[in-house]
Amino acid sequence: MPFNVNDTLAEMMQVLKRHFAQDWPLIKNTAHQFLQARISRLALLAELRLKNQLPPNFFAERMQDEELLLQSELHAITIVTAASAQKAARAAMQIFMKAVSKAITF
Amino acid sequence: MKLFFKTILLFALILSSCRVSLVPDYNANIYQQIISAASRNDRIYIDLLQANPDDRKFSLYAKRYASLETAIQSIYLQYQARPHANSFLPIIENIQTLFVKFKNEHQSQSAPLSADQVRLYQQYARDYWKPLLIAENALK
Repeated sequence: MPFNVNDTLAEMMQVLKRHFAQDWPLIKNTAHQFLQARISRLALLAELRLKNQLPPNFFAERMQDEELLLQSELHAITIVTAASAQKAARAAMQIFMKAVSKAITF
Repeated sequence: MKLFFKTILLFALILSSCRVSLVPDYNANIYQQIISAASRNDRIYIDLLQANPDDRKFSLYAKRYASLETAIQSIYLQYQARPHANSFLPIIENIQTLFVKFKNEHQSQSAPLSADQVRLYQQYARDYWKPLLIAENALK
């Protein structure tokens, strides 16, 4: 069965969307950026593989590397989400502190 | 009424001392080190691509690989020492793993690396730095 990069990546995007349901609007751009990079990488890998220009095992090794890259990308997405939550919490606290100091000095 | 304000003030003081910290604060110095290491990594592959196949021998690049490996380890140590930065560590460990793996493949291959292999290494290297850059940048 032929391997369709675009279909596979669209499916991966859907899995991410389901997994990060609540935070999806926040991480959509980052996830999209990672998937675009994966498309160009896998397209290049597939092209060279089809031309039979890679040494034995080279293709298999790079496919293994994909797993590590995916792990890193998921960690980065988690950090982007946490950083955003932290910024929101700090902004809310600042509003609270301002209101309290206004009430005290009133 | 006075007691009420005093209680609120005390509560506010306690809350202000507990900053919410899920991730570390942005560090421009570390960000620059990541940019610099990623650029040097990319430069190895740019130079390999420009070289004649016979000039792609590992021995000609060994010093640059060693220096870059040290730079990656230094970045890793800084994240280890940084509070609330544990979630960054797996990303840097993956950078180390892939960097060393590519270096070892270059070293152990008897024939010179082909331009296609170098192009692929370059693409993968660019992409293994990206998650770390995006994550650190999100702290701004």
